Amino acid sequence: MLYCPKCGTANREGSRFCNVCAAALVPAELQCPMCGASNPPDETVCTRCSARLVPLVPGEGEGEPRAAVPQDLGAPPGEPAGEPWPEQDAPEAAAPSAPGEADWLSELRATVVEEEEPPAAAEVWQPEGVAPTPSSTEEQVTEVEIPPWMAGLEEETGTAVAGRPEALDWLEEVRGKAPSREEEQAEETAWPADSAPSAPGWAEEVGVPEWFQNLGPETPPAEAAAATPEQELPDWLRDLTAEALPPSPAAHDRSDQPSAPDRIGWQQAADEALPAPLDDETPGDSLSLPAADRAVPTVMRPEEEERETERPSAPAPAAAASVFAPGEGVSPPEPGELPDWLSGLAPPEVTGAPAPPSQLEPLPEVPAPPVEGLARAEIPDWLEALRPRADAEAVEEPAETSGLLQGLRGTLLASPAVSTPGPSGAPPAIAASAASVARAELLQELLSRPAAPARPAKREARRRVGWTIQRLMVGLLLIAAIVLPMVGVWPLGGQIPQIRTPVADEAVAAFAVVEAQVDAQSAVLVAFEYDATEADEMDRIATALLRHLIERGARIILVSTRPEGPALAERLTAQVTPPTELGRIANLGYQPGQATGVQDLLVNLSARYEYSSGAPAAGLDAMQGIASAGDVAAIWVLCGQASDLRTWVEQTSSRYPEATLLAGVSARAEPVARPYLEGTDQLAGTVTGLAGAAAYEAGLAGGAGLASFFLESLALAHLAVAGIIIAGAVVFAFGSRNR
Amino acid sequence: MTTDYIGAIAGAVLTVLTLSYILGDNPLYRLALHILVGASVGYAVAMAANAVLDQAVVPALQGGTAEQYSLLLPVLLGILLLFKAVPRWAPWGNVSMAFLMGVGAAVAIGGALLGTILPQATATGSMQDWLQSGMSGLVINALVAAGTICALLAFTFTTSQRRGLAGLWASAVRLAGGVGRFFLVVAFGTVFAGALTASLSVLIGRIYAILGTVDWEQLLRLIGG
Repeated sequence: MLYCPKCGTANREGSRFCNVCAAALVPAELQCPMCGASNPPDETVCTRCSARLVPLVPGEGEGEPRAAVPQDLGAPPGEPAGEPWPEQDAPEAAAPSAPGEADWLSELRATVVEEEEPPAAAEVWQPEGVAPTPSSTEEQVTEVEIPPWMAGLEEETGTAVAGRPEALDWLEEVRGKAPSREEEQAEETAWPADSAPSAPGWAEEVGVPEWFQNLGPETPPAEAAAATPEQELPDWLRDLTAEALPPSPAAHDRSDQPSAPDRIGWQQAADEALPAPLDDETPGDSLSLPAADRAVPTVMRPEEEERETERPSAPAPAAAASVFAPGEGVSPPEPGELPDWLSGLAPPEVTGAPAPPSQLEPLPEVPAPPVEGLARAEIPDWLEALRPRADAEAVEEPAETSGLLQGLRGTLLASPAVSTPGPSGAPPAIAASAASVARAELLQELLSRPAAPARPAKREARRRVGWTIQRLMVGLLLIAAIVLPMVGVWPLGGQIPQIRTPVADEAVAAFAVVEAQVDAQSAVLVAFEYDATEADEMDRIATALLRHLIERGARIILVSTRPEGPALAERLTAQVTPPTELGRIANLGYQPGQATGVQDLLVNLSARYEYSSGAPAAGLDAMQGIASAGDVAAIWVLCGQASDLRTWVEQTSSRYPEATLLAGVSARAEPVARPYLEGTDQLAGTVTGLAGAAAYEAGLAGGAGLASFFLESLALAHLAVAGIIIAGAVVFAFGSRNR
Repeated sequence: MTTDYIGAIAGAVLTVLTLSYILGDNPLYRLALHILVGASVGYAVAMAANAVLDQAVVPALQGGTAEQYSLLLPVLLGILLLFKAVPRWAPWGNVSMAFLMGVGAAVAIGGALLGTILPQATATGSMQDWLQSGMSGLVINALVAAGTICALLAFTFTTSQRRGLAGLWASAVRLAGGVGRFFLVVAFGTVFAGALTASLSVLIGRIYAILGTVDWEQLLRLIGG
């Protein structure tokens, strides 16, 4: 079980991100100690400034670059900060300094080595461990010129810095007083189970009174701490613990101490009462640090840094000891010689006076330590999702790069505030099914596939020419099939119009309906619902119908809901109608409004105006006695599109269900007309396409017309199309797969 | 040279330009296409203006007082509709749009309900008609009903892989959907055949118009010298 370092949620083993706050469960990046840039965890050199991320261990690689040194350890006064040190080979463990290198640098490097590699470091600090070199260390130390700032330090601290043994003495003294990091950790884990480190040896040694040692709140038993290691505690519980357990008095001396607002009252009071640290008075921060951990360069391994940051409230006796550590000129206070500021912190039983409330705030109650032997309870995911996470959305805003706010950070939100989830709006964990995961993987695989290589230009051009040739051949074949009957060549024998088909039978039935219901006294409403692009097909049907109605002597009322309809109707009537019969035809023109217009036409047929003359329809001879569609003998609808046919059928059936409705439809709209013809009998008859027109023409007194003439061409073109489809299917089936 | 002759020549030329698409997309085809679209739109606008203004508004204004008042509301709605052209004043045209959409939807829905849905459902679902129409009618009606249901089930997209009764139902739905897809293929094939036939009919008419435009006797005389 992995616990989120951010919100404390328990996650499954192997998880990389938290289920609740999406925080990384494993350290994801290394932060450069020089420039602060984030680097991948496997990088050893910063990608921005090329500084080494992992300190170089002497003897690890001869040719590798030397470890980067933080700026605070960098050049002594007089040299620019951050200036690279002189080029030299990587120092070996416990080896004397290279020629030309200052001795204090060698000592510092040796200190770094000791902190990182304890065994090797032990050798560094043992005089007999120093490897013999052509020029001994002592000789070099005595020959090296001491910088003025270090000389001043020597005078100020009263220690000898001239020679290496002396310089090492005070450092060794510091190290002797303050336990090393490993010792500190060992001490933390080696506390007895029944007692907290209430009175460590360092406190007695420096003379800290017992009341001051017990100034902090009650420390939970060590066995409880051992039962629930701090690394296993979630943040929210750790925060509670941090509030209940104040950090050690020496925490202010640590580089990773929390900021002032994060401190609690008694600690702030202690900070204010404490004298200014000695660091401010010394020129070199690294050399004048009183504590051993301050003397150690801050170049640490990432895991060490992480461990440092993950234990803000851990007891640090070594750090506490560093406050009063000797060796840098500050002598430990004698027992009973406490300053006033420290005496003010004394409990009432010691000083006899009540403690000021500003210095001793009531401490919150420490939660009861878990009983030994009880396992930590598993919190269900749904409960984890409800946990408030006020600090989960802390996102560092980038600094402004231009404008009046240049250099400021956090003034403008990088994202709209409305998109920022609330403090308790932790999204629940989404459980993806195996199928979803499989689909996602498939999509990822498809996206990661390399793009198909572009075809060569020559091959593409050849392919384009091939397509053009194919299209040209298909076009020429169709044109030939159409033209042959027109020029007198009849490959099918010219008998196609005599073939009885269902379409022809329907046309014959429609012809019979007209014969039965239309006479010289009746009027027929004809709707021209097609445009110029469909005229070559629909004109054949319309011509046959107009010829038939004129033969019957009926009055013809022409309407259209298409702008081109009246013109097409006018042209056809002029072709097929004798001039003496034109008075029986009323072209009422264009009626806008689609379905609404159709209904208006049906209801208010006489309220129109004649198309060419603009005269009111009510005054036309053809409109005598006609007020609506209910007064006509039949309604013929000539439709090129199925939608027009449906509109006319619906409006006529709903308004005048008893009206005789017939339709001349394009072959394209025939599938829509058939249910109205065979299923509901809403259509009394249909004439479909050229075949229907040819069959209709056959019944006219004038004989066959263009429809019958075109039918041979249509049949031949159908055969050509069927041959092309079959040939294409065969080529596709047996051809190359590249097609 | 008459107007019809000029129109016939122009039609023949435009037909050839359109047929040049056989060689692929080319400027000649695009020229014919743009002429067709432009002429159609221009003619439609002219016809609409003529139908509304010349044949409806102007005659009514020239008529009696009652006709003038009857046009008051339609003209007002029409004027409000013109505000739609200006985004700032477009809300003023919402009343006209609402009127148009409401009336249009009512007419279309009423017509579809009374003219298509109810008659078709009645014609398909009468079991008595099935029995009276004989075996052939029974089979045809059963095919129509099965095809309709299966085609609807073809659009049922389920990914459940359950067991038991739910799994059995899912299998039945998948099977019916497969049959429905067969019906859809047949329907699409029929529609394609009708569209192909209509296109060939138009092509026949166009080729006949081109051939009729040319005076073949004079052309052959010119070629033969």
